[in-house]
Amino acid sequence: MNAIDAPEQRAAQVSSAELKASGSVPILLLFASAAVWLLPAWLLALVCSLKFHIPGLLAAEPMLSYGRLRAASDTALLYGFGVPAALATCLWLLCRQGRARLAAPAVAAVGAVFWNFAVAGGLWGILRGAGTGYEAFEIPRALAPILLLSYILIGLCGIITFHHRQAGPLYPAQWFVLGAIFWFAWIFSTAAMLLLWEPARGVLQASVNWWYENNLGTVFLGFAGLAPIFYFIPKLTGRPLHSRYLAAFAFWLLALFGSSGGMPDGAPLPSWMIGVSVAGTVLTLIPILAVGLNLYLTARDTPSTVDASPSLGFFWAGLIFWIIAGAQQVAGALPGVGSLTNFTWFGVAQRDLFRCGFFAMTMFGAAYYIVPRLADPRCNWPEGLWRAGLIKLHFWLTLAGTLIGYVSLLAAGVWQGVALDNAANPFGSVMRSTLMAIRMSTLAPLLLFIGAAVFLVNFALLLKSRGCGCRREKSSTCESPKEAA
Amino acid sequence: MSQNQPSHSASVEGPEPSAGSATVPIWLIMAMGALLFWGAVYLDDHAGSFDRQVFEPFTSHAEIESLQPYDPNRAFLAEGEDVFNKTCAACHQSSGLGKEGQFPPLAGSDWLLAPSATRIGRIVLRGLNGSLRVEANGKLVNLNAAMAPLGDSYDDEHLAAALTYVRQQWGNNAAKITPEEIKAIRAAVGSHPGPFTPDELLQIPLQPPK
Amino acid sequence: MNSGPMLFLGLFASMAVSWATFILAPQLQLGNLAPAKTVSVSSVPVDYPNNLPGMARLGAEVYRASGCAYCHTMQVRPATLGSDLARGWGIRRSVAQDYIFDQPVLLGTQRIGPDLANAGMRMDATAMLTRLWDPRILQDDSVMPSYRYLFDVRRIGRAPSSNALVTPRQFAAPEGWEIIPRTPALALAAWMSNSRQDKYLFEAPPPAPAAGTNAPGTNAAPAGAIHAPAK
Repeated sequence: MNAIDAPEQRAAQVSSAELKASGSVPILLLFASAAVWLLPAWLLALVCSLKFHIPGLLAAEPMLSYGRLRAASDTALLYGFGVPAALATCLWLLCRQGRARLAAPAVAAVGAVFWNFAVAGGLWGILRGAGTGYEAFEIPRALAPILLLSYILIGLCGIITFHHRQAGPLYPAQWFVLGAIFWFAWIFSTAAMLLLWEPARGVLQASVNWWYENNLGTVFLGFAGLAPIFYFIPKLTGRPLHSRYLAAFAFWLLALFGSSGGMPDGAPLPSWMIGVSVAGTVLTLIPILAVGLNLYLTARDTPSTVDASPSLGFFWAGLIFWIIAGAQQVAGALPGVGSLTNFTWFGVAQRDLFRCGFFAMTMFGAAYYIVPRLADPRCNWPEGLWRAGLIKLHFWLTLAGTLIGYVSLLAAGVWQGVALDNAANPFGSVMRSTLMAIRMSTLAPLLLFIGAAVFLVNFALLLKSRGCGCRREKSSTCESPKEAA
Repeated sequence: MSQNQPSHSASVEGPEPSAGSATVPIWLIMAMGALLFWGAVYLDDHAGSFDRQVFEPFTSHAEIESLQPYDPNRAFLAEGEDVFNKTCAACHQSSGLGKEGQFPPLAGSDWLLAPSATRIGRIVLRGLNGSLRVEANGKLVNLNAAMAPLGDSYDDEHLAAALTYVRQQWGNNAAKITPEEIKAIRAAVGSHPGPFTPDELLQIPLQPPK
Repeated sequence: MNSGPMLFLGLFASMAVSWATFILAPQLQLGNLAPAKTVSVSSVPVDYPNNLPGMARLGAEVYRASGCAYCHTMQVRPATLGSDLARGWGIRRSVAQDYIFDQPVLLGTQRIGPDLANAGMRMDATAMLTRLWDPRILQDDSVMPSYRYLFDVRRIGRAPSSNALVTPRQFAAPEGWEIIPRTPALALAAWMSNSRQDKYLFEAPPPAPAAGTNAPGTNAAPAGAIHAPAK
């Protein structure tokens, strides 16, 4: 299917209009949740970072202590922003690529609402001290089932939508979408079973927690972010994806090797577990190269088209950061390097780059494409916002925040690791020497918070279709209502 | 498509993306092969044979065993196991089950698990010849015993260690035999010519005289 | 790869491999660990670990609820993988056996503060409470926050309480008042005091005796086992 002909173009348009009629509510609801939860995520992260400047800041109030705020910030980012944005993008891609309506949109909408209740309740619980203590899995025990059930409701709609797709070969983005949808259900239920409902004994709790966190990031968020990248970069540059075989190669290797990893070298686990984790992580280098090569060869020789779509810049940034974060994870797993960089800011820098630089950027790009089309199918791209520079502002704020945070924490981590490796350096003095870099990184959540506020504003404007410019003026970007039918 | 204007023309969305069919570059497959090989070597070196008790930096169960601090009981048993493997396992088998009709079993053997070494000490010191009846784990075994003496090959400590080892292996759970016991028996049988017979041994009391 | 069921099967297989490797196999190997005998050069083997006293179990919950694991780890790495042992953070590396009675097990992944696996060997309960009241008493440039809400500041009655915290003047309660640790603080201190991985185990044996001592190094059967009989 290399040439796109008119009937397919019309099919794409019909899909948009039908989507508006049927499936837009849950997808917009999920994007809205993501946009809203991003603000407390960064705000809490900002307060945490400020505590490195003033340790006594808000220390008198248990609900505002560093540990609880960190847990709440991570939870808001992963479960308030991350999973809803991922699901929204996945559902839309399934509809668009399958040329099908979203199945049971009411069920998905109910799922989204309950998801938000669970996240809100979870954040409140964490601040009150009911967090589980497990990193990236702090949602209190009582709310985990609601989270899982809501996810299943939404995910099932996606699966059924996929089942009702029009016949034809699957495009790589669909593989990544399905992979993401199944993966989260699997890892979350496993983690909930072995950490919350029937806690495993001893150090297995840590290994299950690390396994979950690694799979949540590398596989679930990774797939959910790569799906729109694989869809939009070829689409927006107007060129076919270089190779579906290379994409399949990357997909399966990422599924296999990306899912083994996460055990820090030196942890109290039998050496075989560490060994398999190290080997698996190092092998993820191959799919990273495969994805990078595939998309580079896809877009090579394309004239610069960033202006053509505001989303494209977000996708390129996301891809580049995915590659860097992945390469850093490989480097950190290498036997000689890990002993220096484990338990330092190095890992935090990698995690933040992955979550903000890759995943958030990609989700923003997807949102800027999808939301105007769902809000108003006549809209082709948010021209008004683009002209007003609001999208560019958001992009640069996010990029600056990501880079400042990454560079400063990476430097702090490497310095901390090297200094701590020498036992003659007292721990306190090593901490002191990294403090400046940590304090500089406070700019990151600040810029990201402002960026998230801009994103929320943009989102609201897009919802009202003002960003599109279709209502206010007769722009060439808009079709007349008759053509849309 | 001009560079600065929006790329959509006639308000139509761009075409859906398609996927080309270029092959996976051979160098990438070779790189994967190289990394897989590295991974296999790495696991061979660092996976500790997938043993749950092997933690880094150790690489095998045997290595950890060899690093255990000296414990007299363990050393004694290790000595006995060594003797058994070198001399006794050829006939009694490393499973302790002996051979039907030829060599009696040691696992669960009523002869072996006697309260003290009065009879079995004499067997290992002077050997055994004759028709033997052993009850092992509820099974009755009849055979013609022909065991060579070991009293000239091993000292008291090694014989006591070997007896202790077999009395605590394969589910056996009998008391340790001390070198002193063997020494006393060696003195008592000093003048006995040739191997014992089972009938002779059955006359010997199970407990040594006080 | 154009078929939905095949895609699902492939995904299921990948998930199953990861699950079997990191969830099932470790559970089979480590899921039913029971107390094991310690190994020692000199003392009698005892069962290790021991179940924690009640106050210490409560302390583990306080550790969790305060998010301590976001700044502290509780795992000592071997000497070949870091300077943990050289820093005096323990006498040996941590192994799985150490954690079988802990609930929840929060090993942590960040060392903004030092490792706490053997905190009980480095500080006593009073030092712990002092650090919770204000870490800057013991280290003036510490970035650890104060946990003063774990304490009550009460008027001194007829005589100062025996469990009042004694601090330097600039951190002390106002004149006539005293600092009394609340139950969560006492629990946390009890738990930290019990944080000690101070027994050697089979999988983490003591270091070999120095060369030149009389003690035999290991239990292996001495070479040349056949000795002439002692007549």
